Amino acid sequence: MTEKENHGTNAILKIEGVSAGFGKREILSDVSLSVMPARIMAITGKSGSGKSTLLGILSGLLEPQSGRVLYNDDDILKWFDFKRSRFRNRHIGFIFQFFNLLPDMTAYQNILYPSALNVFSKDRRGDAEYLIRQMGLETIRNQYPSTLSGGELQRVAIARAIINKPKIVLADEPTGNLDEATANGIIDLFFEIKERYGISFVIVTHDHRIVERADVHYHLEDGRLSLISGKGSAGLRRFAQSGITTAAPKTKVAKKTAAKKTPAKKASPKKNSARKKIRK
Amino acid sequence: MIHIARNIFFIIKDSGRNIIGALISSFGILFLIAFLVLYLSFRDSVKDYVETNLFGKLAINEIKIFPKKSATDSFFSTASAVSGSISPETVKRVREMKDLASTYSVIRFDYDTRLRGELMGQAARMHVPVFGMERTFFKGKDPYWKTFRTAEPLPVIAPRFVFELLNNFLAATDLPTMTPETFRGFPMTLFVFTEDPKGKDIRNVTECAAHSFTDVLNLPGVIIPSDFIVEFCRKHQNDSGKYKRGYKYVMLVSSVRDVKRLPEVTRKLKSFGLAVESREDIAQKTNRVLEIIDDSSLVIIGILLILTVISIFNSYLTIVYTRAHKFSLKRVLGVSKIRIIFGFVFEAALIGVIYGALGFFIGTSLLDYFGKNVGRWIPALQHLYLARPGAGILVLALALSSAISSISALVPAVFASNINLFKAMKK
Repeated sequence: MTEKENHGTNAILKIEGVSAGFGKREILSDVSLSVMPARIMAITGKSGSGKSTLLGILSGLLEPQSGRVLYNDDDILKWFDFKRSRFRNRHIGFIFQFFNLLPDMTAYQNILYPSALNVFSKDRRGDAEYLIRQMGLETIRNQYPSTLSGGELQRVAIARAIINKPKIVLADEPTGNLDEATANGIIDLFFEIKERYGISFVIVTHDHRIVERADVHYHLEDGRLSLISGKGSAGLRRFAQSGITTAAPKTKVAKKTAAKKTPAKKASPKKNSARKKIRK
Repeated sequence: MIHIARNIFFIIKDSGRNIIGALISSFGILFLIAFLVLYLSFRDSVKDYVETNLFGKLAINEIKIFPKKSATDSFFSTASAVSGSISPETVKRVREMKDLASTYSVIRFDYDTRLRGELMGQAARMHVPVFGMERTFFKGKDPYWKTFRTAEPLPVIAPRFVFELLNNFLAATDLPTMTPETFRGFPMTLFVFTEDPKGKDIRNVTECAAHSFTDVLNLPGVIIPSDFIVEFCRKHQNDSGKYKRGYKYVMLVSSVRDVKRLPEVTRKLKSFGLAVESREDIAQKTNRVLEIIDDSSLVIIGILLILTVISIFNSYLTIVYTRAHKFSLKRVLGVSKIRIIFGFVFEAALIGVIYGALGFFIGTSLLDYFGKNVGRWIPALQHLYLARPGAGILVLALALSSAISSISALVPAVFASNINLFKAMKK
């Protein structure tokens, strides 16, 4: 991974010189970033450092005060909302910390929803069935989100994010609300999806396990984005020193799921090795 | 095309999910539409009623001719005819006009006249102006016109409002109301007071009977055959020792040969110092009454409209905030702003249509109920025929309610499409 990649020519999506803020408070200051194909990019930073704002700008949901957001060298900020929405629907998938499934739809309907908005999806039901099988969601396909566990909710959310075969999935703390075992499973799933479908992931996270395995790692601080590096680099040590630890379950759902599935103390060997790396 | 169809399908599906909550929120529109339906139907019925009962009916070629001073722009010109008079010479000139096919003259006793009647054991004697009209005038206007001639008892035609007042009296005393036919032959006594040479009253008594009720002339008194008045006055013209004709011409009713020449005829009559009232004038007067009804109804509709719009706006704003998460999620998944707005407005329009239909139904039911009972509550209005609203009013109600509902929801819809997505998603 080189600095060159930051301004890569074969990037799927690029932001150039983006500045954003609320009132006088500047959140992002002259930020540039390129999302390369089939890569997993981790973005870390303190709370309120502008990570989610960055995701919003990347997806065209938020408009920066200055700068450009380029998709195929076309500035999406100049597009009408209708075109930007269509772009978001077809080329961007979203995964959130709190899953954000539509509560009045079943798991299957939630997965199907983005494809219903996409006129080019030819076999959307077939795709949904395939993803349900791939992600082991057969037993819960007709259940409503309120009856699902955190892991199940996140798997449904992932299936929903990739149903339209997007080029990029933007994930905002996807493991932040899951117990360790479930979180590991979800992280594995991200890498599997990346390998299988060539989808890039931009993951805003506090979770060191994602950072460890990510192809690229950026850190956001004082409105500036710094390329830290790839796996096992010195940058990762800096990240570890910044005090960020393994994400713990935060919500009731996550705690319940954690209690059900895996005892919290039982950490996987993989996780232990990751901890060791961070301690170094 | 498929995309648009799919979008429409989803909007309908979404609206279907939310319709119950939104229905409860927009309840106010129901009152507005029900009142509107009532008002529009009432308006037509009241128009007919006012034309008939307040100002009298005229055929297209008929005109009423008054002395000018009593009729100048007077709202109730017929009533003011009591005080004015047309000279016999002018009457003669009018009769000689070739443009007029026929001219009937309304005369009035120039003596003090009283009428005595007894109803339900209660006798009443009151000052009543007595007018005279020729029998043939009522041909085609009164089914009993042939018997309206000088006879004993003397036939008396009363204005329609007298009949309604009588029925009001009966209703107020918890007695059953009557039809015009039941009043026929009702005995009365007419007193006409002439003066002797010393200035003392001579009481002349004539037995009368109710003949019918009329809404054609609407004079502020009773009508008897004019030949009776003429004959009576001829007999008593020298009672005081000094000639007195005893009656005066107060109004003429003429029919114009050619309606197209009505403006010329009117001009000529005005040059005689007369005022003319045609059907068009009556329509204008009716319109003035309707304007009063319209204005007061519009105030009520306006207040209801403002309250409805505020209520819908407020309700939809609440819906926007409660569904903020859902809207923002849909935006993230690729739903455009315009679709969020359109979906919201469509939902509001759908609710508007439902309430429009419901309001129409309630308005029609209320109208039926009033139609059946208004005569019982206010006998004076028993001839008020409340016509059922037609398809035009239904379409208007549906269009208006959906327009009001969707316009009220527009601003909240724009709010919904501009919700800070990431803020809402974090909740």
